[in-house]
Amino acid sequence: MTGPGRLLAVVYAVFAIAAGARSLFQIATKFGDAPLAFTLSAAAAAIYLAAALCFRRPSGRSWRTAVVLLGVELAGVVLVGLLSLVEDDWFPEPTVWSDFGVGYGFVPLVLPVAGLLWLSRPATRAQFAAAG
Amino acid sequence: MLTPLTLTVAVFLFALAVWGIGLAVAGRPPDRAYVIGVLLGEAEVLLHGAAALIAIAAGHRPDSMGEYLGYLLTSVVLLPFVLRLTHDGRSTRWDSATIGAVALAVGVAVIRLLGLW
Repeated sequence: MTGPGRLLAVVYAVFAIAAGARSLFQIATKFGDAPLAFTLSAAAAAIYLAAALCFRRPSGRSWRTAVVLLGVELAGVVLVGLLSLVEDDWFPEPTVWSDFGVGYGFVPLVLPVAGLLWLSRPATRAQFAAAG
Repeated sequence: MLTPLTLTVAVFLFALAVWGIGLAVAGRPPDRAYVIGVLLGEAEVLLHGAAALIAIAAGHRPDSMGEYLGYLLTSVVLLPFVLRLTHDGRSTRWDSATIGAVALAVGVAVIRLLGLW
């Protein structure tokens, strides 16, 4: 994948590393402090990693998988963002999605929107389909 | 002792991020000067990592050792990875943006190192 897909793949990979390493460290050292927050961060990391792989290996199937993953990601960041503001005692420790990703410069909120917009372009879809 | 070096490295990385995004906005793929700049940035994070490890070996203890070492490792591996990925002769403006985004991420990791030291 070249062009914007490469940028998305790299940013998703960086977020998979950032959220994944952090949540593994937190789960290993202090899981009891905030089980929900740490589990959510690990789930977010898994979604970032899977999406990065879809962008790296374009095919008709990976296009559909990516749309579902980014849809779940967008729902997750909006839901967790709202919940962390309304029910802040559910999230004693920050997650990558708390407060709409403020700890990561709101990139977690921008990413799925930018990704879905890019995926929805006919040219992108054709590029995925042509690759396999 | 390490703090001024950490800060210098962070500023350089943020400058690389702005440079890369600037190239992307101008519609240009990464040019030779930019790649050399990024290689200089990598030399800086390697030097910084070595200095941090020497200070730790000499007895300094960051606030959270596991986290510190994690960010330290992140700070040195990302730039070579993205340079290799984008260096395939099919570079576009998006590769400038990609390298710039990674330089930004490395800069943020270095700022985290600054806070934990």
